[in-house]
Amino acid sequence: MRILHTSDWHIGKLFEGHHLTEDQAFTLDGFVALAEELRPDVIVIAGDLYDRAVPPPEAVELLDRTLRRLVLQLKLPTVAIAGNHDSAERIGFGSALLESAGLLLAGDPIGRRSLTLRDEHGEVDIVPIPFATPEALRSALRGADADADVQGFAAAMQRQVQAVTAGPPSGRRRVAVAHAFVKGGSTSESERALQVGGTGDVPAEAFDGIDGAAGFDYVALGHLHRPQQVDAARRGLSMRYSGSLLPYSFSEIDHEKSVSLVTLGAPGAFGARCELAIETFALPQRRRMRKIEGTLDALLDAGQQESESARQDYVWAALTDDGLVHDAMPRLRRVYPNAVKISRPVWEAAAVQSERRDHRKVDPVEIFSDFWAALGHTEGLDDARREVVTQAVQQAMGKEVAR
Amino acid sequence: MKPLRLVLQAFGPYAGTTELDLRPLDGQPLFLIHGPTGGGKTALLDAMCFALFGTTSGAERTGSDLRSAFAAPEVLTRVTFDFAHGSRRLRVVREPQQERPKSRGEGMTNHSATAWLWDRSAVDPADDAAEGVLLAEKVSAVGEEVTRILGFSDAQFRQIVVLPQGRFREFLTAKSDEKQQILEALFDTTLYKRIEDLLSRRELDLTHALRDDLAKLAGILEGVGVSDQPMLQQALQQAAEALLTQEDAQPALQAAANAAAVAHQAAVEGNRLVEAHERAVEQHARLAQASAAIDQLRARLVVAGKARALPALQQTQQERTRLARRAAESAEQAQRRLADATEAESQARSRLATEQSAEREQARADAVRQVHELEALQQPVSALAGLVAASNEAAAQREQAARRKQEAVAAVEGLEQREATLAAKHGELQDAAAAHERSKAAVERAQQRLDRAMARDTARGAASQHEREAEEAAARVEKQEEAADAARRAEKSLRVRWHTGQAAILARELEDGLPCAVCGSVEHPSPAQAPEDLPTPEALEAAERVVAESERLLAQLRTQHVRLTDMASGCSTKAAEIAAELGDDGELPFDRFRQAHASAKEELKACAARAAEATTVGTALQQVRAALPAGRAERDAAQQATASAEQQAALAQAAAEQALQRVPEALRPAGAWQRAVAEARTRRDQAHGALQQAQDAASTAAQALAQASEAARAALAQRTERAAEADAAASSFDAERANAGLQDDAALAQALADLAAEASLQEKVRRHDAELAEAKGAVAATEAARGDRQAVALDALADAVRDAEAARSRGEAAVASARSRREQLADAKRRHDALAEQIAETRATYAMVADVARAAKGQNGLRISLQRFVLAALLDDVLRYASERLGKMSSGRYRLVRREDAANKVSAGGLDLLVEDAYSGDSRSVATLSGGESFMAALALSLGLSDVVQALSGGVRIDALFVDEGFGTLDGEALERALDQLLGLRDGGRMVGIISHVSELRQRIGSRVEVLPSERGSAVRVHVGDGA
Repeated sequence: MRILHTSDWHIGKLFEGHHLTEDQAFTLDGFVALAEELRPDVIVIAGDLYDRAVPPPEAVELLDRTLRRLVLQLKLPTVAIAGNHDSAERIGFGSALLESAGLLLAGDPIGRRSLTLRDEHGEVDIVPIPFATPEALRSALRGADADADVQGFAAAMQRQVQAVTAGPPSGRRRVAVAHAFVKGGSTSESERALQVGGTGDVPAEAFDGIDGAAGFDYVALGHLHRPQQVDAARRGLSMRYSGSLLPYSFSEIDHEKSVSLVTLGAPGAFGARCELAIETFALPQRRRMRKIEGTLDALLDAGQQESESARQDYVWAALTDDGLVHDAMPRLRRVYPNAVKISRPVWEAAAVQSERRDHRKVDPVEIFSDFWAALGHTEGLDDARREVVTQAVQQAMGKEVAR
Repeated sequence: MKPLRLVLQAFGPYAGTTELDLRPLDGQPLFLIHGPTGGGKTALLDAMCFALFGTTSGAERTGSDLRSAFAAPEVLTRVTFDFAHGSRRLRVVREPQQERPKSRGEGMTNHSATAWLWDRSAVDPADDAAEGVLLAEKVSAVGEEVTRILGFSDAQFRQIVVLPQGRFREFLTAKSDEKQQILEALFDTTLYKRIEDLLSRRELDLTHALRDDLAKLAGILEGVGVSDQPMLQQALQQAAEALLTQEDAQPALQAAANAAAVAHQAAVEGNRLVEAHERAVEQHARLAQASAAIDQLRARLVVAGKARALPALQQTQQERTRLARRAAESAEQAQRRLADATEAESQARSRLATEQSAEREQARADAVRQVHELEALQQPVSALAGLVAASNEAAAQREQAARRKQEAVAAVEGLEQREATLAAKHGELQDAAAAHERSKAAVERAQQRLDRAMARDTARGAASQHEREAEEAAARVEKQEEAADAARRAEKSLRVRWHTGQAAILARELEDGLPCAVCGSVEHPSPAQAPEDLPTPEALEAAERVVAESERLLAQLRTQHVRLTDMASGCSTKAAEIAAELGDDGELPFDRFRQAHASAKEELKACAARAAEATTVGTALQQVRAALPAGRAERDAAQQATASAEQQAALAQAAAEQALQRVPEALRPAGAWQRAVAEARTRRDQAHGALQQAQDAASTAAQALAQASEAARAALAQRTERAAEADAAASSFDAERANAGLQDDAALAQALADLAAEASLQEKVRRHDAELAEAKGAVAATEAARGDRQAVALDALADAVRDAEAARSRGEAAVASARSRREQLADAKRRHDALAEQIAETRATYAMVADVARAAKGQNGLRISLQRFVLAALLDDVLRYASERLGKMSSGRYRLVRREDAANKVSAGGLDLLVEDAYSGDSRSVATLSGGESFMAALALSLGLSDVVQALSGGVRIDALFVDEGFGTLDGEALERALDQLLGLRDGGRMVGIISHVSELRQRIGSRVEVLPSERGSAVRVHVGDGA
C-alpha cells in the first residue's frame, strides 16, 4: 500500500503583501505530475488546505482545479482534512456527495467516515481526524448528545482518537490523518498558534490506542511546516509531518520542501505496527526565499551580476550601513523586484546595548551629571558645581521624605 | 487598574440591571467584546470611564445622555464598578444627574449626580454585596480620590489605558507639553522639578544677597562721607593728625580755668559773711517789737486759771434740770392710763352678765338637743343612698338589654332579605356553565376550519408554482431537443466524412487488378477522395460523447418536466380535496374563516364571564344561608335577657321607695343630712364659745386695772425726787462763780475760752522768749566772724571764670570728636574690607549656581530642562519597547524615535515622535502614517508604555488596556502580527480587551464578551476560552 502524504498547502496565502497563489499553482502542477508518475494508492492531505477560513476566489479555483486533476483525471483516491486555518464547516461542504467520486473531505471532528483500501496483505483504513479546538469539539459532542467534558488539546485529541477507533482491534492496518502540534516537533515562524497563550500541543501518546485497542500504523500529520519525524526513538517512522508545500517564512529557507511516499508492509503480529518505508520527493519552487546581508550599495552591485531568475527571489535585505539610508526599498526593488523586507541590524544592536535604568534607583546627582554631559560639557561636572547640585538634591529629597 | 466586575443599571442600551463579571477572564491575556452595531460594546467602556471619572471614553457623551431610553422611569441610572489596584480592591458607584418620578405626588424631580468610593480589600472576594470601608462620598471627592489612587486623570486615562474608537492616535500625535504631563503622571519625576526650582531659588537668593551686600558697602562709605576706598583711607589719616593737635593744646586751657575759679571762690565767701551778720541784727529787732503783746497774753492766762472748776459745775446743773422735766412728763402719762383701764374693766363686767343670762342658757341647751336628733337619723339615710344606687343600675341594664334585642332583630331581618335576592339571581344564571362549554367547542371547530383553509391556499400556491416551473422545464426540453438534434446531425456528418475518409484511405490502397476490400471489384473507376477535413477517431469519439451527453441531458430534462407537471397536478388535486372538505364554504376566502374564528372567540369570552358570575353568586348565597341560624339564636337570647332585666329593675325600685319613707323629706336629697348635722354642731360650739370668751375678757380687764394704778403712783414719786436734785446743782454753780470774781458774763465767757486754749497760749509765750534769746546770741557770733570785711562786686570775676571754663570744655570736645572721628573711620575701613571680601566670594558662587540653575531650567544649548531630560530618557525607554513591538508588527519596517532637533530654537520640544522607515531610510512625522499603520504605531506605543510602567516598581500601574475598534484598518498579515503582539502579553499579568467586529478575531480569540441587543435593551454573556 503506497500513500502519498502532503499537507499545509495554505492556498491563497499572503506573504509580506504578495499573493503566493501563482507560486502555489506552479508547485501544485509539479505535485500533480509527481502523482501521475508515482501512481500511489491514495493521497492524504493533512490539513490547512487554505490559509484562511474564507479564502479568496483564486485560491478556491486553484484547489478545485488541483483536486479535479488528481481525483477525476488521474483517478487517485484522496483523503483531505480541515486544519486550524480552514473553516471546518466550509471544507466539509458536499463531503457526502464527493465521497462517491473518490474524494473524502473531512471537516466534522466526530464524523466517523473513513476510506478502506485493499492490497495484497489485507485491508487498510485511512482514518481522517479533522482539526478542532476543544471548544468546537465540545460543541459538536453536545450536538450529538454525548459527554462533552473535554478540557485542553491533549484530552480533545484523545477523545477524537477514541471516537474513531472504537471497537475491538480488528487486525487491520490503520492510517490516521491528523492536524496537531505534537510535542517534540520543531516549529517555524509561519505556524499560527493553536490557542491563545500556550502552545496547544498534544503528546504523541494521544494517538495510541486505549483499552487494548490498537493505535495507528502510521499517523500522517500536518501543521508544522518542516518535514520531520516525531519521537523517532520510540516510534520509528510511524509519525511524520510531511511539511508545507512552499516555504512560508524566512525561517523556512533551509527546509527542503517535499512530499512523503509511505509504503506499508504486511500487518505486524500481535498488534504491532506494520513495516514502513518512506521516500521523500522534492517539490519544485517557482521562487526562492533568500536573505542577503551587506551595505545597500554592495548588495545592489552584487545583484546586478545575478541572473534574471535569481533576481526574482523573495529577498530579505539586512542592511549593515550605519546611519541613514535613503530610498532603500525603491532602490532595492529596481534590482530585486520581489524584495519584501528590509532590516537594520544596527538598530537592533543599539536597542540591546543601551542600558535600561530605572530612573528612580539612580542617584539624581548622577543623572544631573549625565544631563550636564549631554549639554556638551565634555569636561564633566566639576567639584564645585557637583556640590551645588548635591545640596539641591538633598534638599529636594528631604522634602520628599517629609511629604 | 484591572477591572473585575461592572454592573450597569439603566445605562446606555442596558435597560434593567446588567452584570458583567470579568473575574472568570482573569487568567486570559486577551478577550474580545463583540456584537452587532449599536448593541452596547463601547457602552461598556463608557461605563468604566464614567464610573471612575464621570465622563465617557470618547468624552463625547455626557452624563445625562447616558440614561437608557429603554428603562422604566423609576429605575435610576447607576454604574457600579469593582476594580483592583495592586493588592487593593475598590468599588466605585456613580449616578449621573437625572430626572426621576417624585416619591409623593405626580411628575418628575431632579436627582443630582452622586458617587461613592469604597475600599473592599478586607471583604471576602466572593461576597459581591458587602460594601467595605467608605473612602469618599461626593462627586468631587470621589473624583479626586480616584485620580490620586490611579495616578492619572480622565484625559490621561483616555489616552493610555483606553484607545477609544477613532481617537487612538491622540497620544502618538500629542504635543510635547501634553506628553510631558502624561509621562509625569506615569513616572513620578517631580523630584527633578523640585531640584530645578531649588537651584533657581538659590540663584535668586544669591542675586538678592549680592545686591544687598553691595548696597551695604555703599552705605558704609556714605556713612562716613566718602565715595570710595582711597578717600576713606585719606580721611582716616587726616583724622588721626587732627586728634594729636587737639590733645596737645588741652593742658594749658585746664590751668587757666582753675585759677579763675579760685579767685571767684574767695570773693564769694567774703560776701557771705557780711550778709549773715546783717541778717542776725534785723532778726533781733523784730522779736523785741513783739514783746508787748506777749505780756498781755501772760496776764490773761492767770485769770483763766481761776475759773478752772466752773465748766464742770455748769454741766451738772444742766443735766439735772433735764431729768426733772422728763419725770414730770412720765407721771402725767401714768395718770391717763389709769383712767382708761378703769373704764375697760367696767365694760367687761357688764358683758359677762349678759352672757350668763337665762335666755342664753336656753339657746345653748336647744343647740345641743338638735345635734342629738340629727345623729339618730344617720343609719336610715345611708341605707337609702345604697338602694337608690342599686335601682339606677338595674334601670341601666334594662336599657342595654332592650338595645341588644333591637339589634339582633334587625340583623336577622337583613340576612333573610339577602337570601331572597341571591336565590333569585342564582336561578337566572343556571345555564351559564352549559353555555360556556358550548362556546368552547364552537371555537375549536372554527380553528380547525381555519387551518384547513390555510392548507388549501398553500396547496394552490404550490400548484401554480410547479406549473410555472413545468413550463420552464418544457422550454428547456425543447431547446435541448434542438441541441440533441444538432449534435446528432454533426455526428452524422462527421461519421459520413469519416466513412468517406475510410473509403478514401482504402481507396489509396487500391491497385488496379486487386480486389477492393469492400466490394470486391477489381476495377476502381472512381476511388473515394479524402475529404479535406478528415476527422480523427478522437474527434468521432468526442462527437459521440457529445451526442450521448446531450441525449442524456435531454432525458434528464424531460424527466424533470414530467415530474414538475405531476407535482403541479398533485397539488391542485390536494387543494380541491380540501375545498370539498370544507363543503359549502369551500371556496370562501381565507379572511372569512379568520373572521369566523375571531367572533367565536368573542362569544367564548362573554360566556366565560357569565359562568364566573354564576360561581360568585352561588358562593355568596351559601355564606348567607350559613349565617342565618346563628343570627336567629342571638335574637331569642336577647329577648330573654330583656325580660329578666326588667324584672330586676322593678324590684330595686320598690325597695328604694320603702327606704325613702323613713327619712324626712328635707333630708332625702344626697348630702342634705350631712350638711344639717354639720350646721347644728357648729351652732352648738359657737354658743359655748361665746360664754367662755366673755368670762376670759372680764378677768383680763381686772388685772389691767390693778397694774395701771400701781404705775401711776410710782411715777408721781419720781417726779418729786428729780426736781429737788436740779435745784441743788444750780446753787452750787452760782457759789463758785462768785468765788472767781466773774460776775460779768462777758468776762466769764473770755475766761472760759482762754481756759480751753490754755496749752497753746502757754506755748506761744514760751517760744517767743526762746527766740529772743537765740537772736541775741546770733548777732554776737556773726559780728565776730565778719570782722571788717565789706561787700565786693562779683560780676567781673564770674565772667572770667565762665570764659576760662568755656575755653577748656571746647578744647575737650574737640579732642573727643577728633577721636571719635578717627574711630569711626577705622571701623568703617575694617567693615568695608571684610564685606568686599565676602562679596567677591559670593560672586564666584553665584556664577556657578547661575550656570547650573539656568542649565537645569532649560536655558541651555539643547533647550531642554532637567526634568524634560529625564522624561526624554524615559520616553526613549518607552520607545525602545514600542519600537520592538512595532518592528515585529510591521515586519521590520518601522520604528519610533524621539525628535532630537537642537537647531529648532522656536519650540523647546524634546518629546515629539518620529517614525523611521527602513524602506525609505528617512524619518518622518507620525501624522504621515496611514490609518492602519498609525493604529499599529499607537498600539505599539501603548504597549511600550505599559511595558515600562510594569518594569518600574510601585506607583502607577497599567494592568489593563482597552482597544475600541481600529483592527478593521489592518489587512490580513498585519492583523496576524498585531494579534501575535497582544497574545504575547500574558506575562506580566496584564489584561487586554478588544472591541471589534472583525470576524477573523472571533475565530482566533476564545474568551469573549458577547453583547446581545433586543427590543427590551441589551444583555451581555461571557464565554471563557481555553488557554493556560
